Amino acid sequence: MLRFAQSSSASPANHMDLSVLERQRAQLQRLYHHHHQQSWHDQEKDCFDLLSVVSNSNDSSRTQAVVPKPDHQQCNSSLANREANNVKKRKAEFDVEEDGKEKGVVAEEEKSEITMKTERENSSNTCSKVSEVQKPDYIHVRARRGQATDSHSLAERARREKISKKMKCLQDLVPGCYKVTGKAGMLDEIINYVQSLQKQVEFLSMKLAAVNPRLDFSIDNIFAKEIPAYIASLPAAQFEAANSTCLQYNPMQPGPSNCGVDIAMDRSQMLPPRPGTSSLPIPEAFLDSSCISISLCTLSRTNSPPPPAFKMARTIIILSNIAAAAAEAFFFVDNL
Amino acid sequence: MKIAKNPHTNPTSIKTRFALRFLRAIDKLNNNNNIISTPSPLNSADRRRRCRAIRAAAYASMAFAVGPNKAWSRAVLRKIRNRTKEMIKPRTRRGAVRGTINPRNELGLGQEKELRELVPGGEAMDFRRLLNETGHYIQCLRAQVQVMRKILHYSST
Repeated sequence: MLRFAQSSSASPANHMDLSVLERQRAQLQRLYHHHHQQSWHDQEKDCFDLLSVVSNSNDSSRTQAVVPKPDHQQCNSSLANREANNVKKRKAEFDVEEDGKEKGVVAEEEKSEITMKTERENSSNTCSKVSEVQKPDYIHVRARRGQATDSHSLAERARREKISKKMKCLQDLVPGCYKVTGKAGMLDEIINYVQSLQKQVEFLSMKLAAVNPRLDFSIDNIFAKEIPAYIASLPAAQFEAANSTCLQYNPMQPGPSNCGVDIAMDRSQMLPPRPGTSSLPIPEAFLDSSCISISLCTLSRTNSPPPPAFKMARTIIILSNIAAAAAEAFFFVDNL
Repeated sequence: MKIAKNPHTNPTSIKTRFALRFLRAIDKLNNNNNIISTPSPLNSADRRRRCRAIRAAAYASMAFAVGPNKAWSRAVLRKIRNRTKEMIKPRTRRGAVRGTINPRNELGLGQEKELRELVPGGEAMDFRRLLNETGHYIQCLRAQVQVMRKILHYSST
């Protein structure tokens, strides 16, 4: 281990790497200025910095070339012997062992874990299920028994855990995904769900195309509808109930309804109703209709200026004349 | 992490914005049809064209409602602008940037490639970002379906 540290300090790194090292050092000094282990050797710090550089650079491969491989392997074996599942246990080892060599190894191992924690801090995680946070600034990457603790596999493991977290979030979104375990099955479910949603959009647009020329799509007509009656008639907006409402629409329109029925039936077979999953609460139906009425109200009464973020979009809409808009939609759809 | 506002009490939620734009688009399409052609297009070609126009309007208005914050909505908006510009002056189309498919994620079934094809703008992303975009895209698609269903219900009764 010491040989590795010596080699790292002996080899004059490039200016690029030095700056990276300095950056890493500054960052870590900021984080651990309260740490009581200030009495480390500079060599250990260099070694640790190199490790942190290697572990932090997931995407850039240039710093990985800096670490000399055979020395790294030696570091590996010494680290692998010192694996512990608990940080506290390792700290106890740290206190007990007097040998400077072993102290350095344990500290290194601990530090390699802590660098993974800092890396995790930097990357923002939007998933709500962060169950690994034990302290505000500590996210543990557990090195399990028999697993390598070199920086490459640590980085790889952190990346895999992030991906599995995202997959868990997606599992919440997609209904009926709780049964499936494993990445392949879940990806299949997700793909099926997205395809079914897109087919639903197509089906609904077909329905709208059939309905609209028949009815004058006037706002007063819609306003005149009784909203409470609509609430009573509309079932709770769940996925399987929505299929049944689709089926109800079909007998009213004889024209395009034949293919419509087939699509609705296919969809209901694809996703059998599950009583456990409920996507929306019941008062949502009322609020949605009120939301629609509010939006129609604003449409009819005022030309409310759109927020500045959409000004460009609005000018695009205005500039292209209506025939062009329809034709452009045609092109857009063909290449969707 | 952003605290999710209740979309039913929030007047600037995605559903409201999408509904506004979509209704405006449908109004425009209706006016166009009333001006140009007969009021009731009975032949299937006209109906199919109208259906496709409405579907495109739905996707476009959803992308506008989401804004340029997400990569998939940016990809959709870019496609629309390119189509508009191409109509004004024809331009050679640039090839899409292909992101490298990670062999560690590839399970041999082409799922990752399929997901990239489904989500707009998914070709030039790494896998983690692709999963993020898929999550948001699923939420927006679901909202879109709900709003369209409500509009259909209103206009048919």
